Amino acid sequence: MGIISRLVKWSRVKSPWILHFNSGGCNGCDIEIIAALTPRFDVERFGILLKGTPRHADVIIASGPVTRQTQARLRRIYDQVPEPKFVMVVGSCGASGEVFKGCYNCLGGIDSTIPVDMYVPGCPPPPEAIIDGVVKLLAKVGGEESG
Amino acid sequence: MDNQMERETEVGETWAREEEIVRDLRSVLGEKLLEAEIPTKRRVFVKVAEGAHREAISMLVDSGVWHLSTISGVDTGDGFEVVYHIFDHNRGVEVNIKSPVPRDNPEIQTITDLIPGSSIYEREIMDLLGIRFPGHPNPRRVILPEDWPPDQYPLRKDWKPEQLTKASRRYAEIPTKPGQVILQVGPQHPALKEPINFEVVVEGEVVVDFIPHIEYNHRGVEKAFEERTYLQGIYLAERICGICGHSHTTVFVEAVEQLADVRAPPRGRFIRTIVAEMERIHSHILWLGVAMHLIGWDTMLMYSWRDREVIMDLLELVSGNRVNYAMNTLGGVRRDIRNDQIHKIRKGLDILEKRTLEYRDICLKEDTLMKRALGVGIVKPELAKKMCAVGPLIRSSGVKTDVRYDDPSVGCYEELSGHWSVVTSDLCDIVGRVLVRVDEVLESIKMLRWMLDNLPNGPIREKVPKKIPEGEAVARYEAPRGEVIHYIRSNGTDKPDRVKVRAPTWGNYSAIFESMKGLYIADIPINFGSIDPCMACASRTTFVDVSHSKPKKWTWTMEQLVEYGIRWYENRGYKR
Repeated sequence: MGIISRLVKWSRVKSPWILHFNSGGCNGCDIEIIAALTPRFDVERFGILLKGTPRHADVIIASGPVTRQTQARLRRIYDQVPEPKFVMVVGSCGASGEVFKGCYNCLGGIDSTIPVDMYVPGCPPPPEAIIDGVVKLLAKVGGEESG
Repeated sequence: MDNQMERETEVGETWAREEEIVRDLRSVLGEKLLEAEIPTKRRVFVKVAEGAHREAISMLVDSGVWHLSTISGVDTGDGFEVVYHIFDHNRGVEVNIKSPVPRDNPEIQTITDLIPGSSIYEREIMDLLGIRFPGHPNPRRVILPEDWPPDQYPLRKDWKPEQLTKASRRYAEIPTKPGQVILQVGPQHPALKEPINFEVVVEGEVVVDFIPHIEYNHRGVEKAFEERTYLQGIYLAERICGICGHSHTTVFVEAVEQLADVRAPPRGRFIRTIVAEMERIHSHILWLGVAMHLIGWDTMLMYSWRDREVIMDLLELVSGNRVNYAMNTLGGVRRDIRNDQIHKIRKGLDILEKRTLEYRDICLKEDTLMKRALGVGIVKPELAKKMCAVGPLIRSSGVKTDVRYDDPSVGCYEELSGHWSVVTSDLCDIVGRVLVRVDEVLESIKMLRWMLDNLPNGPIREKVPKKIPEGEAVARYEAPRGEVIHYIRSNGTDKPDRVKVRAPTWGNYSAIFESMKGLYIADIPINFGSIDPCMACASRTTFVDVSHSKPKKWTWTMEQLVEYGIRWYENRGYKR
């Protein structure tokens, strides 16, 4: 492994940039994700930075059930994220559709549209759980580096 | 406040004001008034003959009524029924006018000329039930996805999700004049909230027209209510919105309690209101941070979100969860508040009060906010009334209206009246909306202290039968963002026949989009943010310059749009 690619991988683990996408959820998870970024919980300690565009991101944090109209957009956003990319689902309805299962305009969880690496269940999961999920995801990112 | 007291004593138990409205309607409609019913205080249900709804509504409008809460469409099996929910502020009564619509020719005359704010509600019924409104100025699709087939209507009882086919349908082209540009905003947002898309027609820097596409977040909750029992419905109602979920469950359970003729015991109603006011504090502080982020003042975002954790801890203490508290249940609440918890809540409120006073001070003196927001996004009281705006938006236009004050039938607001005041502001702009919200936090703290002092003893819930008798009920409540209203029609089983939900943001859209016209592009984020949109905002901004023969396109994210706004102001001498 060349020194440049080792440097890139090292920086990816030390400072993953994330993109947040809500595909039609109730906002609860999104507020908790933001709460994880603000002073009490502060995931920027781990070098995590919220970015505005998928092209800058390493990790997509997705929440909410996939609605009919957002499905194509979610796929497009996933395609725009450069490889290697990771998807973390926050919340139960992103994992399975939860309370919205059976609604005519919901297609199920995030994994009905794009592959998912990590699920954080809860309705909504508290920021502590989100941080736990992020740390475990980073271990996975790091594991892929060595492997 | 005196006004309120007078009304209370005058009405008594005779329901004089409700009967007066029925008398007035009967004098205008005569034979065309088919049924009139006063199921409870502050509610009137009338059924009018086909086509007579306009006469009834124009009579109400002539007598000074301006607020249309929402319009519900109901499939009754052999026909449809359209229900107009109109609130009479002078008499404090919600008038529900039902008008039948035949199934073979579903048409009913529009009321957009009488109440312009009805436009968005009529379009919603067009989408979901396929009822046409002849005379509607803009009968476009509003809530169903773009690939939804044009002849399928999900809220009709004979429609099943299996029937759904895909149609390839794109948005209609927006006609533009030379020199005008269409700006695409949305649907993905880097920081917050839900997907939505706007098409903004601009001329240079100035917004000419504002067309929202809000169907991204449409999940089909109203249909889902019909397939769930009332008890399951509470959990669904909680998840309509992750910020004001408690308000949705409050109106849902209050409406079902009206139908079952059960009233929650006093302690239950107090605890319900305590959680609701705590939710308001958390929501307003949250909004303060987000709004300041939108004008590039991230210091304030971090400060306010740090202090928001105080109220989040209290909510977790009371309910066991930070969001989606699951406190409400049919006939009361699920958890009691213990004395040691009350002690902790009081301590938390002291911290919050101190911090909120400081925010108010900072906001009033800080140039960062004043130079960006003073005089921006003006919503005059006439416009707010015309467009049936709700919540802090209309109160910041100087109109004194608050469901907790006008219609205190929910929770323990009847006991609370006199112990708080409605906050208004005459500024009509974004600074006004900031001040109204900050002052409302202080009012909520005052109300919470009073409720904790006067918390009655006794049981917290009443038993409610599984099967709810046939009937219909309307419950309204002032959620943090404004009036939320649920209309429930039951059919004698354990599942509702129809649940109509109107969230406050839906009511504020018309007014705020009207106020966008004439603004600069740089002011779009903060002006839209100023209504505290519940399904919100934007990221990918595509600019299409149609003034050239070959249209030019480029894309911005919301972040870049916010940055552009900050830079635009800096170049004009407004320093951060």
